[in-house]
Amino acid sequence: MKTKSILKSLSALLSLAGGGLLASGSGAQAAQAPELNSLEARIKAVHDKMSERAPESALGQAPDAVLGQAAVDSAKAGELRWLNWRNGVGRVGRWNNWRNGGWNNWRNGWGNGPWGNWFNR
Amino acid sequence: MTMPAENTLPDGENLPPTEPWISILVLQPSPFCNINCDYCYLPNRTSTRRMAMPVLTEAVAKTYASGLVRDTLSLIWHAGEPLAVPIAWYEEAFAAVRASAPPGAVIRHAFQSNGTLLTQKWCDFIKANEICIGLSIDGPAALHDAHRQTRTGRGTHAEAVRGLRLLRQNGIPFHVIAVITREALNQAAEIYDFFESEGVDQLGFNIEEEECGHTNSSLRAARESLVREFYETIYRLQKERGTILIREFDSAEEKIRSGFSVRGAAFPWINEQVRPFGIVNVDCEGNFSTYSPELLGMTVNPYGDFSFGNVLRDDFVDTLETAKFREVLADIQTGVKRCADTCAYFGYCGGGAPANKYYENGSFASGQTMYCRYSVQMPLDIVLADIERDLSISAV
Repeated sequence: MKTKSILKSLSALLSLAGGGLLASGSGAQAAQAPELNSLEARIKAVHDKMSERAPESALGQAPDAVLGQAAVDSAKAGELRWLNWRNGVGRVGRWNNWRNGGWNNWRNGWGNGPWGNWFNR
Repeated sequence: MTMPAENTLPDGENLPPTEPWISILVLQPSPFCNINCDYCYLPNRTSTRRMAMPVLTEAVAKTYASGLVRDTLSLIWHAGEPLAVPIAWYEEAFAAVRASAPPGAVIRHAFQSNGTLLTQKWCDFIKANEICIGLSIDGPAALHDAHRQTRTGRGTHAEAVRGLRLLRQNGIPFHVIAVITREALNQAAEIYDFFESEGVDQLGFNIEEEECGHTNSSLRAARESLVREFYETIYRLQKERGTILIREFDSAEEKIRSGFSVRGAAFPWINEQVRPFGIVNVDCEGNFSTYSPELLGMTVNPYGDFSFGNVLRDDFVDTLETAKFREVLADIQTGVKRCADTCAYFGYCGGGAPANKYYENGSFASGQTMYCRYSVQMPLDIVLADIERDLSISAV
């Protein structure tokens, strides 16, 4: 039974029929149709604001170290999301702990599974 | 059997070595399911055929021999109730998988189960093999039992919840997927409360899709505003209570946080459903396909039977030369291009789902579907708007 690498054939096929078309064609079309870029613009605005609110110096620091424990304790849902966005650690109100804590076994541990792919889309 | 020299993706013109290509191998141990949900798309659910070990070993060996596997390969036992096949079969199968994969290959097994057949022995096996398990439960009993019934018409909620509690007693992490039908739309709070009360902390919603043998989703007749209200209620409850991770919102936030858009990207193939051989699907007889797994074995016009060969006699690379594969590839690529040209969400989706395009629009070479609207676009809209409010950003 022969077994071959599919790589070379697939790469050639996509060069002819798909990869180039998708990569360059979509970008070119987007430039002609500004409404197609509206979501990109909104998400960029979020990133800009997040970067402004959560400077690089906050990276890796727990929210209480940056803001003080009292501010963290009194935070309402979502209020400190901007800080978590940057540093991704510690306790952030009642919101994003799951991203870095014990929640996400499916992403980091033995329960790791195919969330986000076809099976669990 | 010739094995690849190393389990890495070599440099290639369109295949960057740092990106995954084959991410999932979907295997059908048996088409059989012990229950008979009325929205199920799978045919042959009464057949008790089982995959023979030579089929399994060839499927795994050829997947690795393709040279397209990087890092972890998710091996999903699907297209039938996986727990309807005995543990002894899986013990043999898992050993065969290990023997067929290159040394050091990381393989993660996954089951999506109706939960009704879970026993302590299954829990022991799941823990011992670190299997990712998800249960299919639609929420409170009335919602669940309306659709998820035995062949004699009996509801399966009690048995499914018994399985859920058994997983919890054993400390096994799991997620739940709930199918959202028309009648569920008015019960968002009840659904959230139910799963919270059962200790579920990872929950995904599958909108009732129109696929294969299931051609009439109850959501087709629902107003879009009702679906949006459902999602908004779930989002509000999740945010207030922080008790359940909702897959659709998590995925949306991940897209926003990463900021990555396919538009103009060097590696645009983020969507495994439109990436040829991004997903490899093998049925219990050895027939294989790629793209949306639901399509394997279906009659899909104008291509005919949606299978590109059989692992016992055909090599994946030979598939690329066939007229059927090239026709499918061209049509799916046309559909992706249509998405790129017409959909503002394309950058964060990568081209939709071919199965949904075919069954909703009649062609792979088409764009938006109900699945796109309800499972990708709407959650992204809700999460992005909420973040913008938090940050006092006016939508541009």
